[in-house]
Amino acid sequence: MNLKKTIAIALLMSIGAFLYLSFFGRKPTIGILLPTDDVSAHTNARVGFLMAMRELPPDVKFVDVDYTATSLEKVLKNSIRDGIRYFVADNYSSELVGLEGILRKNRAILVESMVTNPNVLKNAKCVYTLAPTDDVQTRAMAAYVRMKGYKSVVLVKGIGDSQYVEYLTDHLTQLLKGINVVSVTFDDLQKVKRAPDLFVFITSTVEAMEAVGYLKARFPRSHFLGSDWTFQNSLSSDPLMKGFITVGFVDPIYLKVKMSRLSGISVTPNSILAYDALRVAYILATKGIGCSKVKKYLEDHTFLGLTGPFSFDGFHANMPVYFYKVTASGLRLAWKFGG
Amino acid sequence: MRGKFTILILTLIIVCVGAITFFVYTEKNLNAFETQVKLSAEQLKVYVDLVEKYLKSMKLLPFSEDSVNVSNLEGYALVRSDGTVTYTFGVSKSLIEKYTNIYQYATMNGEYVFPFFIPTKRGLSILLAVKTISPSYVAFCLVKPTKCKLENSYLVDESALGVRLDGRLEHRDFLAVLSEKRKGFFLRGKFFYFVEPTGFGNYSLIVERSVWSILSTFNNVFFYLWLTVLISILLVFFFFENSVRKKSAPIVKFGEFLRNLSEFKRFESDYADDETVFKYNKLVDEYEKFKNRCEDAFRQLSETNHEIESVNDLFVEFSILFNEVRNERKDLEEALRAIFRRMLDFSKPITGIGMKYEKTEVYLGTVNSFNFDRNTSNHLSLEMKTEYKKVKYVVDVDRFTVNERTREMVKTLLHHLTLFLSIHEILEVSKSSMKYDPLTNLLTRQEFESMVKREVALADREKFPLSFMILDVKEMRKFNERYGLLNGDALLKYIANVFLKNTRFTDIVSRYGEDSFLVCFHGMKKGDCLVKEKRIVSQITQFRYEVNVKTAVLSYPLDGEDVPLVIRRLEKAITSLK
Repeated sequence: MNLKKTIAIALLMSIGAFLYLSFFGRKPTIGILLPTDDVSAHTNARVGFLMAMRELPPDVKFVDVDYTATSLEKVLKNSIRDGIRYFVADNYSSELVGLEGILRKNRAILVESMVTNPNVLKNAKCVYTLAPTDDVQTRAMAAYVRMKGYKSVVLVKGIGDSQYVEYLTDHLTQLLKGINVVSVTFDDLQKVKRAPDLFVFITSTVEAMEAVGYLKARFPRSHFLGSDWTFQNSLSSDPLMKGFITVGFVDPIYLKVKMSRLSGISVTPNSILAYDALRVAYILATKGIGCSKVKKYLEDHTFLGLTGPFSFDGFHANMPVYFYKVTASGLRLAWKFGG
Repeated sequence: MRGKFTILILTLIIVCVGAITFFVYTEKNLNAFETQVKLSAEQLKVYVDLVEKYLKSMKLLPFSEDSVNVSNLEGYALVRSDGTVTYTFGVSKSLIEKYTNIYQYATMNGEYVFPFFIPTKRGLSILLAVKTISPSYVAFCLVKPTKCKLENSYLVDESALGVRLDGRLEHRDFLAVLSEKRKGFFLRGKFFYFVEPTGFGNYSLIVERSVWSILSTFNNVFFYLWLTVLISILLVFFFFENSVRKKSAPIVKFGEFLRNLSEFKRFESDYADDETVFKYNKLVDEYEKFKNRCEDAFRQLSETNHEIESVNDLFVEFSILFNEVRNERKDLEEALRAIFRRMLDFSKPITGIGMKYEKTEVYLGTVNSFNFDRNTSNHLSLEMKTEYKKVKYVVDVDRFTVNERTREMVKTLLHHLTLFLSIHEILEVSKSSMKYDPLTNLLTRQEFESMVKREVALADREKFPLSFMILDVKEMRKFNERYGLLNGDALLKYIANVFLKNTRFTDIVSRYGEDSFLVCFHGMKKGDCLVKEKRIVSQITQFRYEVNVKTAVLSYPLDGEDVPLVIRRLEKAITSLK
């Protein structure tokens, strides 16, 4: 065999190896979409994603896709151009509105852990969420109000995430027909003159904690219920918050147990939903499920999450809505809806 | 070939040594870098541990300014769990209050507070936090990020959120990195990652280095020496290969010529002086000569075959012509002329041909009667004996083109012709012997019958009668027994003479059977024939021995519609006589 043949064979083998590694040897890739300018709000989701990534087999490649509020769409486009077709994220509903067009055009699949707005999800294609949607939550809250027999309710609207706040306020108002429902903003609490049976907080935790102290002083007989936005593990650390009912999407029994190997960070429902979201994305990626088949696949299969099996109903997971009561010894399950 | 192989092995060894050295060096480099990272992480650990120690001791009473001996510590603050800033040092209270939400978030989530940037008067600082021994308070500490001198280094918390340490405002997620490995260095994509836990708050120091930046450090003297040796070896190999190629060019070209050889031919090139090529060309020349000789032989063989075929054709034609002569459809001279004409066409060197046979003389082409007397190299004169006679041939040939084979062929043909002439003579003789009875010299029965047919035709046309007389010798066998066969033959000859004497030239006399004679009298009536019969019988009885004959006479058309019927009746009549 002469030198030319040897070189030609070596070249062909190199090209073959290159092509194999370029196209055939590549693992499916999942992009982890997380912001770097609003880091505080996504710590729990980040923890959930990290735990899932450590526990899943290494037959999927994970890529951090960092974004800021201004670069989200561009970053997503670049990631899709780099060949990523599966994403997990902890976006707000308002952020998802901007991504919906890009995902639809490129037929990329996004599994969310936090988006709950059904209107946004309805318009999006191939976007699925692990959290129960806001309409499920409002139905649960309305059922709770009726179950307790409250006759007058004041809805306290938080500042920020207006889409979420307005949706919950409108929907609850509709569902609580026959009950005296008044809605006020967080800044207008002083306008409430008569003590209602129940204050419903559609606010952040900080706002809720601030308002509860003020309202308890004015209306000591009223009860307090907060949406999932008000949930924090440390609510019980504030004595003023005792008796406060907050909505969450995970059985509180799981919140008492810290995730293994993460000694410093407490588990929140968001961590668990993020964990489950990544597991779902992993299954879709390894099975090679495309955008056109993902809906049927999700509806036809039951998944094993961190807190037990769950399935999908349309674009969201069929998770129950939990009502936690803040006590001196921590959070306690008060009531459960759906699931 | 051996030299080439040696150089190849040498190159491989050098490449392998280089590769091994390169990997060893790179690993050493990486290890050194890892050590550097560990050292940085250790320094960071010591530093953050110190910070932690002070921060944790901040319960209600902040630590004094004197006790702050931590380098790069810019300031600190104490915040209550409801977000109220109770104490600050080195940092303004308003700045801390600006980030109250973050602190509150941090306090609500237990001990953990992620590191984040905070802009201060002196630039960007990293804020570290820890819960104090009092659960209601969180202590914060501002640290200058330039503490770590390693580029692309990040302080990464437990949730894989990193804050850059080398002075640039940047947060970054390291989920993918920390999910793979939590300590040590590894390659991921185009980057090397060095991960080193720092201890405090479960932070890790992550340093990111591109592969190229690691590889580019491999530029020491050994590398250049190795590169020089490798290039030198490759150059030597190249020149060696080139010189070998030049040397082997004639053989290679000759080999290619042989590989594509479809016809055995000379190798015409600039390398004709090469010994192998020279021998090959000599072999080709020998082959060409041999090939030409073979072609000549084949051509001659082909011509011979062609002439043999022509001779065979001529033999067939001769047979046909002589057959026609025998059947008297063609005259002998005419046939001979035709034969000689074909012989002239047979071969180009034959220019003329002639023969003398009895009174027959045939001349064709350049031959005339005088040629028989001359004997030159242009002439081929032959005299041959036929069965009863002699024949002379003369063949005029072109002495320049004629060859021995043609001469032999011509001789063969002439012999064959002579053979035919002999057969012709024999046939002629045998034909005449079949017409006449050899004993009596009278016509045979067959000849009589054929001649009578002509007579019958004439008689029918001319309307004259024909009379037939049959004579049979009585008891011829007894005569032979009594007087011997010779006397028997003499009797038959005597009777024949009697018939010949008593018949006209136009009458037909034949020996009809062994001891019977039949005569046809031309234009003779039956009565006249009876007279003639008596005369003949009387003369026969005058033979020297006693002889008895019986006769019968019938005429045509009086005694029968046709001659065969008349003859049958004659036979019947003679048989019935005793």
